[in-house]
Amino acid sequence: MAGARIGVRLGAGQARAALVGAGDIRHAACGSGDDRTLSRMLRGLAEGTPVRSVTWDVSAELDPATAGSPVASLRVMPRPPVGSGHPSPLLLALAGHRAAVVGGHDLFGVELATLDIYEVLRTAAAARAEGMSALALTATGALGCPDHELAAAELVREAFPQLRVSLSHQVGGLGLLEREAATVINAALLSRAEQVVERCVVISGRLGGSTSAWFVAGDGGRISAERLRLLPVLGLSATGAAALTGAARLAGVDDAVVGLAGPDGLAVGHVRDGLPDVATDRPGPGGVRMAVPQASLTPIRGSHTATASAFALLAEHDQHTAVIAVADTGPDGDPRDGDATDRARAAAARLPSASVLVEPSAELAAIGAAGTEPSAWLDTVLYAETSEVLARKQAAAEQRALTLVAESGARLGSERVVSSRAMSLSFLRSGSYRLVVRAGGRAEDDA
Amino acid sequence: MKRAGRPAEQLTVDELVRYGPLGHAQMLVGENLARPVSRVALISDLDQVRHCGPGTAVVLSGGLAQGAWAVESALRLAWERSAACLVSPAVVGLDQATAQLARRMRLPVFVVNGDTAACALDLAAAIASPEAARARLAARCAELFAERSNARGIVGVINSEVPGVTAALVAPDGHVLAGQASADRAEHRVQVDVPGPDGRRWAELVAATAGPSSPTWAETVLLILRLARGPLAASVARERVDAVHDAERGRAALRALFASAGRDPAPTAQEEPGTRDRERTVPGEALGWRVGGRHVAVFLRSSTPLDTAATGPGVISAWQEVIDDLPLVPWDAGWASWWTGEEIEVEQVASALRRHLARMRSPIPLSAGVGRVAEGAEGLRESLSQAMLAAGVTVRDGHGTVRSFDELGFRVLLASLSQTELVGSARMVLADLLSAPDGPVLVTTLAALLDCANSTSQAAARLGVHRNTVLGRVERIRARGIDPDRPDQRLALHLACYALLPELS
Amino acid sequence: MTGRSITVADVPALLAGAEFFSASAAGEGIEFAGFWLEDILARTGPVELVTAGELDPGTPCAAVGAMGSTVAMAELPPSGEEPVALARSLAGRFGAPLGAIMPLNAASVNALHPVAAAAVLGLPLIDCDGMGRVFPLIHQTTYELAGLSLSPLAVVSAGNDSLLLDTGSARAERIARSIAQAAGGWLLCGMYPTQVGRLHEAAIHGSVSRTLEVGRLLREHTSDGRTARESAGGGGSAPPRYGRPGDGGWPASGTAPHERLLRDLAAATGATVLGGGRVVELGPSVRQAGTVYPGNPMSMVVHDHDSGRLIRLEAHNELVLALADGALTAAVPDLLCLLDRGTLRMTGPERLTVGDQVDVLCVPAAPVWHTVHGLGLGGPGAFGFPLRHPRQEGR
Repeated sequence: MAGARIGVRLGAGQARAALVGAGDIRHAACGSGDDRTLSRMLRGLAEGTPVRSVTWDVSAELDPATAGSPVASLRVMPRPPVGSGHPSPLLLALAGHRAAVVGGHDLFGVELATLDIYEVLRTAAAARAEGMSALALTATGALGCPDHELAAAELVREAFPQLRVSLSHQVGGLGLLEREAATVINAALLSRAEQVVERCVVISGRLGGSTSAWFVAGDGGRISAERLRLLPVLGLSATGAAALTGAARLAGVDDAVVGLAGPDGLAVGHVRDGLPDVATDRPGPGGVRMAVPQASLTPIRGSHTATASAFALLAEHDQHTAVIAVADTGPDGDPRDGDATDRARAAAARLPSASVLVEPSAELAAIGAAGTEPSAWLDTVLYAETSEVLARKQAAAEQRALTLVAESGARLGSERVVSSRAMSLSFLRSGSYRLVVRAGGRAEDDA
Repeated sequence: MKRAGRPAEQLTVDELVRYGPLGHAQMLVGENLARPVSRVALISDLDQVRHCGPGTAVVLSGGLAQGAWAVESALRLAWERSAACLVSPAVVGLDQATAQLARRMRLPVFVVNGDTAACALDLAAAIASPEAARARLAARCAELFAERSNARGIVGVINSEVPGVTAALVAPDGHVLAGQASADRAEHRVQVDVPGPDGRRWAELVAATAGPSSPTWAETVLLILRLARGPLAASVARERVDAVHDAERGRAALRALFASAGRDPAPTAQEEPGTRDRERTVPGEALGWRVGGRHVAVFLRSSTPLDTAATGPGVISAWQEVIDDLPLVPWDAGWASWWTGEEIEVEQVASALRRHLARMRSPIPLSAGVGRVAEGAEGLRESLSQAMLAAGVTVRDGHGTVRSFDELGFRVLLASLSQTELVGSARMVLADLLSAPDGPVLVTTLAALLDCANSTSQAAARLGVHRNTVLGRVERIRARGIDPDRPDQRLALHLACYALLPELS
Repeated sequence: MTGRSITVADVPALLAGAEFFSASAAGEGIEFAGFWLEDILARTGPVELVTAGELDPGTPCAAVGAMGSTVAMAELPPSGEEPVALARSLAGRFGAPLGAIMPLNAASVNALHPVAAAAVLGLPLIDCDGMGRVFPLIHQTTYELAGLSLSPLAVVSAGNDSLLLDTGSARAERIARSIAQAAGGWLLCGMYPTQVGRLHEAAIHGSVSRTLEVGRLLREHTSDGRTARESAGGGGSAPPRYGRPGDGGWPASGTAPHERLLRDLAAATGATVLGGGRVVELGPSVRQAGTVYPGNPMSMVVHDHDSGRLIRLEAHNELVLALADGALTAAVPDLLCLLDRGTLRMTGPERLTVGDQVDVLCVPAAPVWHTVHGLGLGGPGAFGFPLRHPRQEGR
């Protein structure tokens, strides 16, 4: 099926778009406030070329500090904490109502305490009374066994159908505080995400009935409108991830160490098998760590010379191709910022000849967004007495990840495991492993 | 079979791999296998490695299989003690890093699945009686000799199966007929005569050992050489017959080919009329030749007066060692071959041939001429004639020289004048020059000078001597009444030199 | 040291230092404990840090530390009330309330627990510990070497299951481990109940200060990122579009930043750098049957960039041994740690993949660990490796 893909980054009142797959990469920019302007820009960009998909980077629209609305946070654990549970000012602001109820499971899914359903209902009632529209539910051990989160959600939905519920086991990985933070931010963004997604879907639809709408996730994969509506936290910090993907694509490599040049410095990340390296322990919005995979980007600040020599040093120690890319647009919608271009060139001059300098003819993140593909990420704990059992359980988890990829619109048969690591857990009985699986696939609409 | 007065016999690690208990182990690192093994130590505690003497085969017991770290520790200690090799049980995590370390220490490492104690026992038994192990080796070689049909295969068995030994089959004139030429030059070696089909000594089978070998090891090698003698003699007889037969078939086929295309380019003086009809019946295609398309013919000849029937098999087998997909057909006073292909060029053939000649282990010096590119059988005939003319010139320049007809131009004509009557006249014309003590040298110098339009420096370069030497020789030539500068004499002189050259070289 | 205290502002440094002394494997994912401790200190106010000599020798005290998995603890964080249960158990047994807290070990998450306990109980924290690093077993301590009794061992789980075990050190350990497994993966322990006077011989002094000092050093070297994080977190300015704040930024200048950090760490701790380069191999090692240690043994190999040597590291929860080209060059009880060159943070085999660049450091243990008894309790042999500690060679 012939056709092109469009990537759009929304942010700071601007929309910057790139069209990929119809010969040269085309770019366009306009104000992001008005639907008609946006539609007109996209149609102009397509110039009659059939467009199969529009992938949106909406992370700037989902800044929790400005776009979040207060929610109730309910923690489920065997003994409620004495303090606030999390000192971050952002979380204290977002979690307008905090409570803890007895319940929870251990890492391996064994129930630690019976869920106190009455307290769940009392918290929900109080939250509703305080005017909250959403509830973040975080149970300890929910990755091993989500029963308490599911049961509590069921109760709340039945009693307060207007109260939307975010469940931590759907949002993030191991680590209660981090996952709770992610769940609170997720719940806080639900209503904003609803509007943003709706708008993007409608505008994409105006390009024609066969044009689908997708969204870039913070891990560099792409997710459906339905998934972003449910899990807006996945759409955070997507710009860097999209830029990494775009840089590697333009450089024509699947594995690379990438330096994204901006006016203030370089941001360095890695791309493996076409997807950015991710981490879950990086500080997210407001410095809050969330147990959600996000592209790892390390900033290098300083003069052009200083960032160039630092990147050269990194590249020298990396076995993959070094790619340096201009990753900032000029003020008037130019595809490239002048200062960022100078910085990129200074860095490229210090690199060995096998390296690639990417000077994109459109906004890098928009190009990356256009090319994103479905991905999935799993973080779980398992117990295996022998290496055979471990291999079997690991294979089962990998299958689960591949299924997730298929569900995110991957072409059947294109799903692949990008990485799968079983890490032994310290100071638990022998045979305890933490398993982290990452999978990807080719998009259905890919050329 | 321990004999008094002899040093203790020691098997090498390589021997233990080839016909000892290590043959069944997985070789993780195969460095430095020539080390003799003096004893075996089964280690159950790392500290015990510290007490091993040099040349010990260190075998780690199953109890020590606690991880790659334990194997690497043992490896390090074994290396410090100059152990011969390390045998480890299969251990989880034993992989590239361990192998890399062992390679750097040049210490062979073997991995045994199952009980290493049993392996240690087998090793101890083999080391205790090397003779028994070696007898097994000799028996194995004998078995393999019987399976090989030619001399190369038989010598190859020795080279591949007998550890630390390189063998070669050497003709009485020192020409290596098969095997590794280095064997003949080695310091430590044993040899046996190999009889030809006539029962007389035909060649020598030489085996070189890596260092001074122990008496019984030398005996074992000698025994293996003797075992090879019978099969070698039989194979030589077979190869001779085959070579002669093949050469005759080739000659007949080429002649038939040219006959069908037109005139036979070769003088038929050597031909026996009675054989002609039979020969005609062999078509070139039957021999796998490519007759159609673009050809470039080459012609090989030797400066030595030769009997192609006698030297033929040696030359042809040397050719086939280097180029096995092109025929070499005895033709006139040399050998003919040709390259075929749509893109074929003279220069390409000449340089390929130069490469091949340099690698060929020919029993006689060979030089070659290359014809022009030509189409079909008719063209091949012409190209071969050109190659033969060019080859006539190259003879003077020694082994390995290759010239093309185009490159030589008219000089090929001069070289073709080596006829009996011309030689007679030339002797008379140049009698004064030839009577000088260094007469032949002066004739050669004169020819070179004339070739080079009387440029002494070019002539010096061609002859590979200093220009002053050439100047000196020119003085002596002039002193004998010959003036190379006289235009009216130049051509005659040049002809006379060329006529004499084949005899003088 | 008189008059020193630990405040909310000290927590990030304490956390960074705790990571450093965790022998790599045990320091994974303890950031949650920083938030948790900040939350507690914000409520209780600073904790007084005193030397043993500053207290009345007759003051009853006990060591506080957690046993079990930090991953489990991150998933099931302490409520903050656990120390109260411990203090109640131990005071009931002795008939007198505790007068001070000392750390079991001022490393990994256990550098934070005693601070939290002292804060919650309103007691001074003694600037010492019993390991100087992380050991897998709670009786691998200088307290044990000095003859202090581990038990009665008071344990409390995140579910507030509370228990007082009155038995020998090794048995107490074993029983407590199985309780930890059943009670959510970790326990907070109160142990080695004694009087401050006995700590003079039995403790490694200055451990908490040292952890703080190393932590400050580590944070100075990654200060760019932290500063950015703090300003972004507090100021509400628009976050940078590429690279998120607080990523442990990379100060750019001439020499490699990891080299400067290594130099400073060596100066502060007496550490030596065994080598550094690419991780070339990483995988499970042989399981040692019947071992008392929980967790899975791992093995990794670093290819030393400068010398070309292969440095093999054996880990069992923490880094136990380093062999350079097969020769044992460092081993427990000395502290082995790995610095990730990319992030300038301490790392461990569980967080690394083949191809990563690391430096291997060895920090010498307190002298008492190099005695015959010390090596017997915390040397390679105690971890199931039939090797002599490098310091024993030639003895």
